[in-house]
Amino acid sequence: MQTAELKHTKKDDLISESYHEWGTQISSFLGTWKNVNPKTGQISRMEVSIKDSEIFIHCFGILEQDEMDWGPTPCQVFSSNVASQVIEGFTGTYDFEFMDISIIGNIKYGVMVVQSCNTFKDGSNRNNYLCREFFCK
Amino acid sequence: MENQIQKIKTDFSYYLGSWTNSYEKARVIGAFRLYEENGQLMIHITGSETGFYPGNWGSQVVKSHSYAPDTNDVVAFQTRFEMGDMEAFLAMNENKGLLIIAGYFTFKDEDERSNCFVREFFFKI
Repeated sequence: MQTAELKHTKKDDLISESYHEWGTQISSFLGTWKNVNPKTGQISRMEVSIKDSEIFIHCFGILEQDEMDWGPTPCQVFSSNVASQVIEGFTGTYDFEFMDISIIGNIKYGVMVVQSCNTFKDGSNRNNYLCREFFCK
Repeated sequence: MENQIQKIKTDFSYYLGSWTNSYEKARVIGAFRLYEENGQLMIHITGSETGFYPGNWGSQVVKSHSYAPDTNDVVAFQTRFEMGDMEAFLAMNENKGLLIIAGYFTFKDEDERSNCFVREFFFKI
């Protein structure tokens, strides 16, 4: 199988005449997104901000009476194709002492769908798990 | 509450109140309110100003559905609106705080509008 010359994985990866700078429409992504599930066990809200051209997500975990500030972490953003200006997805990671969390999100019709892949690294033998929840502004 | 349709005593309190469309350019329904009246669950709909049927749709009775025949955990609803020139059948289900409406719209007049299907997402305010 030849892979050395591979420059794209799908036809749309090729830049056409219609190409313009991707990912420039970021305003709808920025701001505070609240978990619409009052019974959530994980992220209660997420703030998305930009600083010095770098985008950050800032998650707050739910506690019984309060929130746990996870702090900001840089995120990588994605459009639906190489020519789209609209940001539709993002990824970010959190590295806690006991757990790594990979966050993958996408936005459609005003709903941010957030999936977190939660990996324990404390030797507790707890199952790693996937969590999928919905956020709105 | 025990309504006329659901045989098992059902608690609708989680759903009662106002729900708004998550999408600023909503295609059909802008917002709705679920409330109880005379022992029935009701829905009042406001059409989206950016949609194809704006304005006040009025209220209709809502039929509720549980997850299984032997449970009373309501997870879905259905209702129907007769609008004169359009009939709307709405199937709704809840998923982690979102109410998702799948709408089947049938136009009764003889113009060239296509019957259409629209799926929209709502959160409680």
